[in-house]
Amino acid sequence: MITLLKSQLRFATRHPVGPVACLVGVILAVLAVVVVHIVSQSIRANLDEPSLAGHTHVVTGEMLTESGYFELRRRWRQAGTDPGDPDGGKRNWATTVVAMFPVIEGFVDIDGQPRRVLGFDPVAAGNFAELPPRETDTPAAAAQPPRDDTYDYGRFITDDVVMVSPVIARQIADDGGMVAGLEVDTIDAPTEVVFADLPTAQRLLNRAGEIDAVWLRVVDTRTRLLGWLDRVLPGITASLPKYADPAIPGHTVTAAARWNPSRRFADAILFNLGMLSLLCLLMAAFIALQASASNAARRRTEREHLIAIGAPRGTLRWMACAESFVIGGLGAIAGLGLGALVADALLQAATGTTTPTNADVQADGSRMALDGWVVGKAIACGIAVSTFGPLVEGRLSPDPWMRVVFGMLASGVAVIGLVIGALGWVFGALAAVCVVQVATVVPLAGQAAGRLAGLGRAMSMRANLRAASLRSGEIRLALGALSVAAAVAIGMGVMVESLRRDFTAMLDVRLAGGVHVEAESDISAADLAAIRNLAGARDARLYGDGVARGTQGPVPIRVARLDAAETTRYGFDAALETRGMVNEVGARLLGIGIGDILDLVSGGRRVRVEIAHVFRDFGAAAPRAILPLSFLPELDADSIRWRRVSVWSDPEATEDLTAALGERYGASRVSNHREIRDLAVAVFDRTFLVSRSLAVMALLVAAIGLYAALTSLQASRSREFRLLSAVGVTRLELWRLALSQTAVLGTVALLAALPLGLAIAWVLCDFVNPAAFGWSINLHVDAASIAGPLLFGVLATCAAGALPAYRAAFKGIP
Amino acid sequence: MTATAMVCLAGCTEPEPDAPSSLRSVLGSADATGTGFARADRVREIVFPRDHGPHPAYRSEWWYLTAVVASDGTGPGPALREFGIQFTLFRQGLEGRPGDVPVAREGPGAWRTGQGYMAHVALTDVAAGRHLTAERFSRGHPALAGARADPFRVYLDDWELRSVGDDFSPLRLTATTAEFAADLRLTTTRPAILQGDRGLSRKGPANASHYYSMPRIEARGEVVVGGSSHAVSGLAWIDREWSTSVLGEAYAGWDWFALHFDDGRDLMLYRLRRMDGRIDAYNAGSLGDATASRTLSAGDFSLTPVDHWRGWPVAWRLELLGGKPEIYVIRAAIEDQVMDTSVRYWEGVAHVQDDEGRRRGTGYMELTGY
Repeated sequence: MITLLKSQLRFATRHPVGPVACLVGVILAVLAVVVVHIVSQSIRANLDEPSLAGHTHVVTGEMLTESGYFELRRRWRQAGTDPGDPDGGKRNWATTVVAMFPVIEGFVDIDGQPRRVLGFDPVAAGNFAELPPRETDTPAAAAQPPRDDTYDYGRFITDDVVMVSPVIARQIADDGGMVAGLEVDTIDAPTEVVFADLPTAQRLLNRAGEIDAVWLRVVDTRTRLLGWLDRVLPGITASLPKYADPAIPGHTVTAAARWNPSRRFADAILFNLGMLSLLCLLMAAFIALQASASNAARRRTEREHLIAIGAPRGTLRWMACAESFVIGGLGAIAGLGLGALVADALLQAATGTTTPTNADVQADGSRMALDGWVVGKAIACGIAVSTFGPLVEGRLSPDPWMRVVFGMLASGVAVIGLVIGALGWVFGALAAVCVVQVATVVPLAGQAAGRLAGLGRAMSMRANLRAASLRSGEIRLALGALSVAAAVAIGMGVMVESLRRDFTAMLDVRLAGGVHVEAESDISAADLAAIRNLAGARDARLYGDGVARGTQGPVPIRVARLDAAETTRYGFDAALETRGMVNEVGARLLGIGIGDILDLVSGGRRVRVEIAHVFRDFGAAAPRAILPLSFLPELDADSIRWRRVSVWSDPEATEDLTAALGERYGASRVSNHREIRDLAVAVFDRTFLVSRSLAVMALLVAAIGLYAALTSLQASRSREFRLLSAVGVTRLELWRLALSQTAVLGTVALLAALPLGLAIAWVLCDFVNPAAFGWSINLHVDAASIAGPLLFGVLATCAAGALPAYRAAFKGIP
Repeated sequence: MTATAMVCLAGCTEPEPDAPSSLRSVLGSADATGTGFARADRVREIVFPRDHGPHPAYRSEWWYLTAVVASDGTGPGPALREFGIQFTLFRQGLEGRPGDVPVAREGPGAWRTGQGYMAHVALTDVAAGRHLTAERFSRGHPALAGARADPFRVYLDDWELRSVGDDFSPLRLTATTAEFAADLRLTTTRPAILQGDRGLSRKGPANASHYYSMPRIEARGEVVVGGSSHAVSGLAWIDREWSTSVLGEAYAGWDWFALHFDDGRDLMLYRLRRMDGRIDAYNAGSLGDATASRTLSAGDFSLTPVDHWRGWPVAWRLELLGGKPEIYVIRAAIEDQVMDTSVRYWEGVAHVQDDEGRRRGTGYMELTGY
């Protein structure tokens, strides 16, 4: 054994290329996993509303009241015990419900801003660990003596106390501790929502005895399994139905994720990132496999010697695994550290925030930067991908027919996925297409290149193509990985560019030259007339903003004069007087379209809005409706704020107009439409920085895999090169020969990536985005999005092939 | 008295930031120091039915029922199968209230009772060797959870112990969980025993609670477990205790026993476990029969653990001193009767044997702070 170990160490030190390539691949794979984990946590923290006490479902119904809640609770507790009960029976909705609590929602004015109030019964919610924790690192909290956390909890349900962010707490303090005419105390918590105990919220909203919904926490085996899976790969379960929706007779039960659009938005982004991280992992596994095969090829002679002197084959295999294990461990540690740094840099670039500090970690366990999960994942990924190669080495060589059959099966899965169209199925289809690419398309493309050799005129070219064709089988995994990485980069690039194009087009129409004002208080008709009279102002429009309740949750509404000029901004070409518009997200979530009725409740009154147009609203995570002024009598007038004004002006007058309005309403409340547009585009670009970075990372990982494969390939050709050298081929010509073969192989893989990349872009634009975000995107194929990854791929291929070719041509020949 | 409550309601002289998981740590209290609450520091006349009801002036309170019953062969289930049933409703005052405060029936006022409740229900199926538990929380609200003296009723959702008629007894216990259900009709046979000094039970130099017991209650009803229904009968015990500061910082936990002897005697003992390991002078109990009862002090008995299961002392040697000494072994009917709830403790059926191994009684044993 000692001899074998010494032999292995000697070989590794003399031929470090393979292990180092494997190590770099593992580092990059772990880095990708760590980056995705940390970025995902940040996205969840920023986009996801607190999943209050882990609630999963929302129960609504006609005239849901406190007594309705008590009745529902009685049914829950007694379900299954009374044979005559409509909920009776052992397998009913009640068996999966572990908590049930009443909720009331609404808005109150705090410091001139409408703030969402969420009132609930925390004791019935029961899952105390998931309630918003008290902020302990605020100056106010630090000044207080340490105390039992439940002290605040006790106050929360006995006094008029609201749980708010420190900023809102200060605003309340500035208002003399009054909110909606009620004197309240505050508890600092990391939340933008105003949390309150149910009776406190009822008092704040002046709705004694009322509730809006009953929230449920449903737990079953599938929930637990998916929860675990989501911890392993954040976002992977976003498109899957997480909970078996309980059917409660007499009530409407909706999954909380559907009720909470921002959560869906976050999940959709996480899902994309999760897929990209899977891709990076896949690349790394390919690298490991390829590096292992390369090592095995290089060690063949030594291995045969060791077997000849009596070394057991099994021991040799396990020693190879042990070496990979060590590489995996080292790669995991390095990847973990680098991943944390890269994630921090990406987050800073994308959002201007940093990952949580240790203090944050202590203050809030849910926002941990490097928690046990990410460390465990890093180590597991590192070791798994590095030992995968030795374990399966030599066992994955299907014959061409098997490859074709496998490709057809995977293609079938892809077609079924696209026909079904659900997000999970669509991503399954994409995965299947990628598998087809690696298993079938790239190898067949390599063989096709050999056939093309017959068409070439120059003998050297024909020989080169034939050789490339033969060699493609030996490095098919690396080529496949490169092809998939390039295809994903193309697909992502085309999709992002298409979205950017549509987004900027929408902004250009909606934010045509002018100035936007958001006043601190309602703007009167006289104020509006005064604005219209300002120098340079062509027209001014006042907008009323409020919130109504839809069948599945709150729907922000805007009331405005919808003449043709205004509706044009939303892509409609006529005035609207009795009908309204809804955004794409709302149309999709509520399952309505043009001609349908949008049912709203405002101030306890039912409002029916016929939909005339569904408008694009990129960036919106929630439903939004725009109504003409004729609906005003039906709406709760108290809840509408008339504070937004758009002033249209001539371009040359915009600057002066901005200054004049700034003087009147405060500079911070006035913004130029052009500035808003530019800011929105900048935010867009920053948002997609993470996705682009991961795509580039996948390409980089693939290039390293190719380098490892080519090193092995060229090493195995030393006898051939000696022969060519003996017949007079110079070393430089040999190097060019080896490099040109690499270029041919890379080109074949990249050409094969082009159709796949376009297919991915099409799927992302026409299936994934509508399903995940509710946005429709027109596919726009631009040359830069295609040329960039291809050029990068060619360069990476040449770079990966240059050194092995040089070694083969200059070092391998005496 | 339930020792769990002694620890888990944790009414210490000073606030205990590092106290083990407790009802207060779960439900919290707006008055963290307990300064707004009344203290059990002097003898207070216990009057019925008033004192069957809640005492919101004190921070912590519990209604505690245990029953050891056996199927009697009259039902569809197998005969002579022994079960233990525990029902406890804990009340935690979230703010000090001067006395019984009228509670609004509806509206914001109905939610602001200033009370939190925790209920535990457990069933021990001795023959099957299993112990099933369930736990619920609720704030005080007329429609959710609460307590009332006359007619007597304590409840949390549909778990309920209430008087059947106008008088306190007979009572009915109904509790259904996903795994088991109990429906018992309970009839008191002996008057309440005021523990300690006329109901003031001292647990240390500065800590005490008001404490009385209903020691021998006939129980008859139905137990459903494992899909089978069993007609059962046996004996139950009710403990009532309320306080603001029960246990001092010098104590790690509590071992408590409520036993029905076959000869008709009822015995309650508690042993305070001091941090320094010394026998505590405030250990106490009571021993009674159909005609009278007497208070036991620390010198009247000794309790020594003789067997452990995973650190829990599940068998004890009991010596009743004074007069003719009596020696018994109190042994858990099954070892695993851990209450795996938010407050973790051991509570379950115990059998009493004499020094020759003959069965002499049954009852409940409670172990906390381990």
